[in-house]
Amino acid sequence: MIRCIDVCKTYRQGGNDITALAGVSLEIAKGSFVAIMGPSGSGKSTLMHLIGGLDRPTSGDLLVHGRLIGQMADDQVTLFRRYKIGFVFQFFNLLPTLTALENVALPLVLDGRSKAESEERAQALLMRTGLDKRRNHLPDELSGGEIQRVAVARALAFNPSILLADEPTGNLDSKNGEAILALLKEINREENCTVVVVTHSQEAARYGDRTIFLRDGRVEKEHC
Amino acid sequence: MLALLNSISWRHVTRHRLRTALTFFGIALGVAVIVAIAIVNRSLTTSFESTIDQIAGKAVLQVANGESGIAESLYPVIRDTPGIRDAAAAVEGFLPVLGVPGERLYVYGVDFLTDFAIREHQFSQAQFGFDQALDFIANPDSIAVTESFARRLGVPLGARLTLLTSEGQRQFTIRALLKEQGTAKVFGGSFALMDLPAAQRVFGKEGKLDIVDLTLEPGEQIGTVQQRLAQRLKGAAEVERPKKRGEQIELLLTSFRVGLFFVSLIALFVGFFLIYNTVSVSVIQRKREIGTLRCIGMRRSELFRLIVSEALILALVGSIIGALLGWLLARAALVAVGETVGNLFSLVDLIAGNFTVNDLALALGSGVAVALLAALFPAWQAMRVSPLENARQAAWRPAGRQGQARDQRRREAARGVRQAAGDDVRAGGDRREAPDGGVTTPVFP
Repeated sequence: MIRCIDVCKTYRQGGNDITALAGVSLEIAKGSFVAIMGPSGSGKSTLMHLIGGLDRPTSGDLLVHGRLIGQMADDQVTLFRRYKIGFVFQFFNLLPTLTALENVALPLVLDGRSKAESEERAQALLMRTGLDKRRNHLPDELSGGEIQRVAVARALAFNPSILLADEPTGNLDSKNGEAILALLKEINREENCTVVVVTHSQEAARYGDRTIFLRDGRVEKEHC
Repeated sequence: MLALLNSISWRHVTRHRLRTALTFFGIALGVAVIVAIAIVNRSLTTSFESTIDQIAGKAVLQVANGESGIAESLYPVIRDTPGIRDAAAAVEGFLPVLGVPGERLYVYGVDFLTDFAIREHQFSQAQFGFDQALDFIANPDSIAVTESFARRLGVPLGARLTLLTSEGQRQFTIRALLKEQGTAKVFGGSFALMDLPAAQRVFGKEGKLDIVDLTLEPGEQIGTVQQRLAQRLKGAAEVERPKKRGEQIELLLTSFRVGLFFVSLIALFVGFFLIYNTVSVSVIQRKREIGTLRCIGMRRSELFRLIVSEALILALVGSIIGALLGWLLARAALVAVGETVGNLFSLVDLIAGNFTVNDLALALGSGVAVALLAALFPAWQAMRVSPLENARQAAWRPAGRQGQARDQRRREAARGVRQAAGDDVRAGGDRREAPDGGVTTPVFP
């Protein structure tokens, strides 16, 4: 499903090269729930961005669904993200001017689906994440936990085969954090969706079938 | 695209009303000035053509020689050219009316015995026959003014009128009143007829003629007679059709038109700058939102189209408003333009141009083109926003005092909504520890 072969990522900053990933090699099987941990600056988020096609590796091969994601054209990788990958971020990243329903329907609207079809699907997803009663609320009328549920619902718009979550509980209290992780686990189990969670939290890592530790841009160790 | 415009763009536009208003203002201003100038220019052209037509009467050819005039001795040569039926000589010019600031009379000096064949002069007096005409000609201080001019200045038939001539102040007696018909309609009725020799004296043009208007014998070709006449005159004067003369006067206005054209360009530039600025600010402010859209699968080309479409829709509405404003502006500016043209070039009866489909097309075309050009670069910048922008910037950030107060109000309002909906209010759900130990509150830019 996801295969990294000696993946490196270097950023140029102020005339200096900063190495975020220094040869990461790993495989993530379809339907698994993997937690990626490590200290700040270890390259966790960078790895997630590369897997999600938000960025390109400096060297090495990164295969997702058997395709070299780093070598795809921009339009191809964008459509790949649209249909195959769902993102959940620490800072939620909903559009503040859209209601919960409209935020969830947005990827479908982008795809040219009709308003009725998009909203029907969004309504079903909000029901699944337990937020159907809050569908007409704007993000700043929702609590952090509710916003993150909307973000999860949006990520599921196209039934993606991979769900990438970057510190999904980082801005939530423990109760809401637990609820979000439980939701991700449920999705993983029921949809056979591969879930990769980048986290600092040991509690979050406990939901994973496998935990990968990164340090200084390399895989330090793994726990199953 | 329509669905995206309806949701993302419309919400954004309504949320930033001041910026939207500024964009509208920029487009409407630019378009209004362009449309106004187009209408004013068209009005000038139409007015000149109309004035020339009215003065030329039935004439199909005119002999003239610019400012220096034609030697009067050439008149028999012109008149006796085969193919010519009537030849009416005239001198013309403007004379200020003493004691009435800004009032100028367009004085047309004609031969009363020949001019009626070319131009229609209708006198108010029921009986302005041969005797009255002889009396008019016999007295060199005779002048005929229009009824409206007489009414405006309160000078009835028989009253004295002082004009500033090349010989200094001279008094004239109003011996006839003209109906505002035919030639007398020009310059809003500030028109006077004088006998040719008297007019030559007041303009200092003794022995000279400004123009000789001609009609042709039936069956004669204008071009043939024009050529024949030119050969006989041997370059001493030019033979032209009246319309051509109008075009020459219009040529004089070129500099004026160029000036107006540059005003259009400035207005366009201001409009361009305002649109560019507001679209750029909008893109910068929405960088995170754009990053989110890219992240969830919006292609660069789709994003480009969205930003450009936003600008185009604003431009379309702004252009329609601008077109209406332009029409009003043209009506208001026409008087001032008429005065300027009158002072700098030549008096003209300004006829207010109507708003036409072409004006609307010009408004929409210029507004949309400028908006398109202005939006291209910001749209290109939006295209280059990385999807990582979405991950880089935090929606949660420590709020300042002002922000805290605003967010407190938002939370209270939101809490009110939740309570009204009968939902649980999760106290503390939006209070979190920031990395620096402070409290962070949700802020959606």
